[in-house]
Amino acid sequence: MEPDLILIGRAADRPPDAIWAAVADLYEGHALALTRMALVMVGDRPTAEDVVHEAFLGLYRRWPHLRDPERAVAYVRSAVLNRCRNVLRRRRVPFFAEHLPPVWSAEAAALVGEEKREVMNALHRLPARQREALVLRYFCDLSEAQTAETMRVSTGTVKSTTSRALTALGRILKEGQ
Amino acid sequence: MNSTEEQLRAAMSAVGDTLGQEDIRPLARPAGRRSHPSRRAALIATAASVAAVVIGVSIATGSGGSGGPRPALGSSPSARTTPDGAPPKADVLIMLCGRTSANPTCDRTAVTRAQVDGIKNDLMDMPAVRKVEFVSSREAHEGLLNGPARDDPVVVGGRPEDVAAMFRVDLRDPDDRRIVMNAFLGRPGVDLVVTGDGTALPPR
Repeated sequence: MEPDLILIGRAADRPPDAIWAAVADLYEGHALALTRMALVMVGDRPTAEDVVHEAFLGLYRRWPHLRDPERAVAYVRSAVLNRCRNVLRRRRVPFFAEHLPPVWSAEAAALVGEEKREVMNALHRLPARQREALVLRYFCDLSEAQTAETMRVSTGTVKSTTSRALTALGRILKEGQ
Repeated sequence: MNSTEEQLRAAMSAVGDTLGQEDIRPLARPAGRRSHPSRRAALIATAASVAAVVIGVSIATGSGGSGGPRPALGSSPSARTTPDGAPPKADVLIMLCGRTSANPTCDRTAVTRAQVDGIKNDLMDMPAVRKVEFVSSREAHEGLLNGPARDDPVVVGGRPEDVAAMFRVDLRDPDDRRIVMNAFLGRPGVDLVVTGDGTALPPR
């Protein structure tokens, strides 16, 4: 029996395998940096890894909707940030007060040192957006424009948020002395 | 005394450094239902012809791994058969997302009511479109069970929710198929768009 209908179009403009290859490639290049960023945000390694994995899987699912595949990295960075924010919100307890997260194992504590842990504690007492601005600017070393894109705000907002955040952080650290 | 910024950089850097490249495990590809036997996981698409039409879903794209969407089976929604059992052919079929759709756009979610209404309204607004018919999963499944492919194991083993719902679209001018295809490919809720090859086929 002759086929009398043929398929000539499909919604995704690339076959799933090619999309997966692109996503896996991006993962290889950026997973370490993004997992480190997630670690700074959420404090424990398993959560950080899960957040990054989920963000990349989300990228794979949404690839056909990406307006510009060149911006896939920015997209997944935003996704990681948003997921971290949700994790912290769900925890509803101060960053380190819940329990000692695995990153603060004895060896990590030796690596990180008490003073630095105090700075991290202070970072996590800031409002979420201030913390995010500081992490993107001073950990990820993004420019103001890149930070603005990731946070979906204007560069002006990035400037003012960052400046307020540093002031607040400084004040918290001083109080602790 | 270090500035706040310097202290912050040092602290975050130290935390980040507790992770190395060796700690990053590879990304696991979601297997989901794709890894099930294809006769369960396959999205069974119904076609407009009663002849057992095999639609090569994987034609230009490759369906990615085992158990991707298998060739679709033809059937007729039972309400629309012509005397010899052949259903009238639609110019364009817009196959809608189901939970087993392999298309990443579908995000393993069935098309929503709102999406269906939106697509229907937009179809009816197109001057090129003469008639629009919505075929629900249940109706399409019934059609398969009553059609020539009813003994096929893929059909027998398939559940109503595995059968794609779709819009059958008739055009004023069959040559406008591409217009409709381009308008709906990539739209949320749309899995595939199937059209004829442009040749007028004699009624069976």
